[in-house]
Amino acid sequence: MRFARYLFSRLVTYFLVIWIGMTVIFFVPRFLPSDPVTAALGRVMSSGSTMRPEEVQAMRSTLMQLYGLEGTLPEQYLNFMKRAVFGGSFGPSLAFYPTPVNALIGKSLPWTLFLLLTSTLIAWVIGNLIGLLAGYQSGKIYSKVLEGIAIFLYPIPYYILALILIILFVYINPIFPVSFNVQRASLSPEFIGSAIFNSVLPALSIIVGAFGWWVLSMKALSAGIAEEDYVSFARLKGVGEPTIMGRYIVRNAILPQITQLALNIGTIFNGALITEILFGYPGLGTLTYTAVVQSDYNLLMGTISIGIIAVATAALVVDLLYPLFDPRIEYR
Amino acid sequence: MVKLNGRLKAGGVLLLLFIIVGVILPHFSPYDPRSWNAVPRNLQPSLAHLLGTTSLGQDTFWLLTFAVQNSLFIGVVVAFFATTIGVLAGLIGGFVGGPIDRGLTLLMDVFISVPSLPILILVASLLHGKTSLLTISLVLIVFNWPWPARQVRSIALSMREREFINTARFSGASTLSIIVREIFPYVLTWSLANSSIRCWLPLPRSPVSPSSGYPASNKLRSAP
Repeated sequence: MRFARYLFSRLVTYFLVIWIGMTVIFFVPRFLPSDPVTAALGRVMSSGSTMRPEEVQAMRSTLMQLYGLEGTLPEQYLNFMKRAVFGGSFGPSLAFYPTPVNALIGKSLPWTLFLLLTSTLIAWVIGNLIGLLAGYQSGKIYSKVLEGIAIFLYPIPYYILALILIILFVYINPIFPVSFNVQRASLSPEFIGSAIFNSVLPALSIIVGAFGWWVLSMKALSAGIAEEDYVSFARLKGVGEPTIMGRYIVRNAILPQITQLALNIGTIFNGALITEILFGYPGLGTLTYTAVVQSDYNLLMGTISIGIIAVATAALVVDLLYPLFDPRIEYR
Repeated sequence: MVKLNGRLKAGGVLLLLFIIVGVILPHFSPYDPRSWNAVPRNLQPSLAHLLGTTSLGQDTFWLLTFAVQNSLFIGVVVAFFATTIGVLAGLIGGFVGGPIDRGLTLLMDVFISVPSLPILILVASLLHGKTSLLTISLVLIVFNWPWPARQVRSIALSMREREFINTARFSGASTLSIIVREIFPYVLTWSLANSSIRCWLPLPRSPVSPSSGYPASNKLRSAP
């Protein structure tokens, strides 16, 4: 009963988050001073074709319709919500007309998920392990070395890190290709192999750039728990160090880390803009970038909405899963 | 006499270096490093221009001192306020629960899920490029407090069910005093660590004003 009441109020929050998010991203571009229709018309005109005024007028109204900019603001809003929520569609892309936005997202999403899910999880596991060692066995030499590496790598800005990796592994030791180059084919072993090979460098850059955060956070969490009475008691009782770390420290320290991981997995659906552009990776980040550069409203709305829904869902799921990781937690 | 460990000393030296470069040195700049063509363009590093000059005719060293000043300000202000607001909101939401928690969760999730980039562009365009450091800090705070808040909330959710909290409650402690005196000490070390991690925030991602990220990105763009 208590769970049902919790679930209901939590679901209300969930849908409110999505609704507010979608409303914000509907209104923000409309308050921007740039006008995508004029920009698109300008592109057509500058390509050298001459048009009569009435043709320009007709084209303008067609473009307005395509961009969903017809009618008053409330009408546009209702149309957008109707199309997105009930039709599950964001209309045709304007940069890749007439391909629907959904198809473009469907093509990019697997690539982004493949790259970011693996690298985020690897960084999380490595970072938390090192953080645990640094927090609990801070005197040991290997803890100091590993933590030192993490603290040294963490503050380096991501794009510098990525460029260093590119210089090291593409120019000096040409092991990996300059930019992502995978032949689209069926799910054959060669295809999977080449996809993994091409993703090593971007994945490595994300892992190296992200794991330091987990180290520092986990270190602070586990160092606090190492001082608790039950840990001292377990040690006096003769419980082995691995068991203390695994069953006593990690279980009590992991909750905030799981929260952050879940939210990060949600933001994966925004794509990794800088990574994908630097490495020429065909994911959602590249798609969003194209949408911004070509002022493709429909595509932008599509990619951002996916991100909002994903983050809201991740936050909901982690809230519901808390009691699984920490049985003391009750739904309230 | 407290014995300082090596790490504290190293950190202190680095902090001192930042304060000297960012707070003291900018006042000694012979000219406004932001103005263009104050010095010859594209010079190699020399004694007169320690780090060379940019393609816009600015001295890179003095530009860097101004940049460090801005980064230092944004970093410290954003880290302090985002963490403080986040920890408070997380503690209250997680401990009190019910409608208050739902409301706070709603706020956190909205600011986490809406991407900040379009909003930043909107703010910048509405202010016609006259974004002050304070405005940038404010926007960054608004988009950064929910992350620590979400994490602290998960700690508070678990803390709430512990024995000593019940003891405190039965001995008549108010909700506020339980949050401040019983739970907050637990997250204090983590909050400090989190806040120091967040200080680095403006480095890679502040395209608006000359913070440390700016000369770097400029150099990268003009590199062949």
